[in-house]
Amino acid sequence: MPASEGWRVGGIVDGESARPARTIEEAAAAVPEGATVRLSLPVNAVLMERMRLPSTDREELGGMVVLQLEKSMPDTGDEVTSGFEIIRQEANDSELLAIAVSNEQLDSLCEPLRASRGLPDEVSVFAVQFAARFPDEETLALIFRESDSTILAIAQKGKLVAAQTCLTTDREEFLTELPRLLLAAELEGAPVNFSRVAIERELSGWVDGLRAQFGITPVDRVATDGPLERGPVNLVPAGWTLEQEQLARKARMRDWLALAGLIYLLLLLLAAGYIIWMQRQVGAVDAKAVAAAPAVDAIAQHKARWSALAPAMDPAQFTVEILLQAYKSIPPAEPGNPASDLHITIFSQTPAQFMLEGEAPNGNMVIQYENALQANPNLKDYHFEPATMENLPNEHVHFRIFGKL
Amino acid sequence: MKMSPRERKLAIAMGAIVLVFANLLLMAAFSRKSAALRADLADRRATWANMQDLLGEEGMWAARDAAIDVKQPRLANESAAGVDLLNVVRVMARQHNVTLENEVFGGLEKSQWYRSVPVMMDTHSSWPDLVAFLYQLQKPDQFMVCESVNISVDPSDQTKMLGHFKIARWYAP
Repeated sequence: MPASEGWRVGGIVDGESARPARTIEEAAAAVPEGATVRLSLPVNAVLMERMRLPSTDREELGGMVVLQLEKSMPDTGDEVTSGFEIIRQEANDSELLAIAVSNEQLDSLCEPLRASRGLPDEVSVFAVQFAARFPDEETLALIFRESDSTILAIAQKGKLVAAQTCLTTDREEFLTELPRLLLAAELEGAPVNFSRVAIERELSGWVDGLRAQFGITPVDRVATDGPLERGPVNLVPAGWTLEQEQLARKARMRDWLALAGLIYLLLLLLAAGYIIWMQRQVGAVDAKAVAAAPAVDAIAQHKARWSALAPAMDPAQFTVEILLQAYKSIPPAEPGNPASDLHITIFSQTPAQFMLEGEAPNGNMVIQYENALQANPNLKDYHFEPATMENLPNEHVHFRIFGKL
Repeated sequence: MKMSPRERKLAIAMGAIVLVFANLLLMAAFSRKSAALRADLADRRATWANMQDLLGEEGMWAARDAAIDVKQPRLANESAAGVDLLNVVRVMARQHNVTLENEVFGGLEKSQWYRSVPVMMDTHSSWPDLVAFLYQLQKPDQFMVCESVNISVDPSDQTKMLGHFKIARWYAP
């Protein structure tokens, strides 16, 4: 908000003191990160015009105000942002205070804010907000400083009805200019028979001079800082709203990208964690195997020794046992008749294998015999190769079967 | 340097393509590594399962090893071992009417687990006598091994069997 030393930041909430800033750049820098910015403009930054218009409908009044302002401003309707406050309404017409600001001027003023903390959400006029603090006053004259100027604002029932700027902060010069300011206000249609005069607390030295000017009208000192209500007029340009929406969209996009990045990072970490976990699993099995290796080696040694000596110790590998199992596996010629037409003629054996050679009436019986040998549980340690067969002149088959360990 | 919207779009597209390719490479590498680790883990678990099976049989194999230590004969006299073995075989053959022919002593053979003293011979007998002879020859505690056997029907007498044997006793190394 404007102040005698330039600008004030904050202090609009109870218990919070405002921080002074000499320039708008300093003010922008003093705005806390993430704070909502509400800008109160000085009177000399806006155009104020009292109007009496033949309507009571707010929408119609808005259109009429724009048309009226275009007549009194060099800029076109698109280049200014305007608003109005209804001072008084009768049956068919309304008296209002129209306020307009040049978008270009506002852009230029708010460039430091745009660059650092973002554009304001609300743009109002300090004099309007200051007047709203006195809703019970019939007709109030407010005198306060804004930068290098002194403002005479006239409020009725908390509504600003006129504001005159005096380009000085010198007491004598202002007191000299005061009659002219009052006359100008009266010419605009503003009431000048005040019920009270309120002057900025820091201008205590001006009170005597003002009393001399206003006669019996009481002159009091009031604080200009302190909480401010939202103004009835918001002068945020339409372009800013679009820009804010774009910025919000970009911010949302940034948030989504950040979230996506976070999820991606999480997935990478999960993948890395899975690989590390798998490597640890492999390492754990390895460690168990290494720890058990001496015992396993000893068992393997015992097993190898037993296997090597099995022909001397394992009855299943004794010649007589193999002969018995080879005999038992011979298929009968007919079911229930133990006599068979398959005859073994040669048997040979070494510790690693045995061979059966013989004669059978046909190949099927040889295959049957080989299957029986394979199925014999007492010969389970032997692997049988497919039998070799050759036909004999007597239409029998000569066969040879090898069983290997 | 501020980019124009067209340049910005191009840069975003390029960045997206690079990101997609980088991710494809990353996923392929992860997939390869993961598959290799899974296969490795499965191999090692299978090996460990075999080791556990073996460890479960530890008592049995230790007992068998101890039994071999106790029962396997020790070679006291190398030159007499062959003669002793042949005498034992001759006695058994006589008991079962098995005729021995062409008896030959083999040389001492050494391996990691035993020292073999063999004798070679031919036999002539009936099939039941041969079976009885072989049944008596090989018992688990005697460490007698038929290192080579060849049995066939006698072509001149179908009721008789001809045999060629290399019988050995396996002594402790």
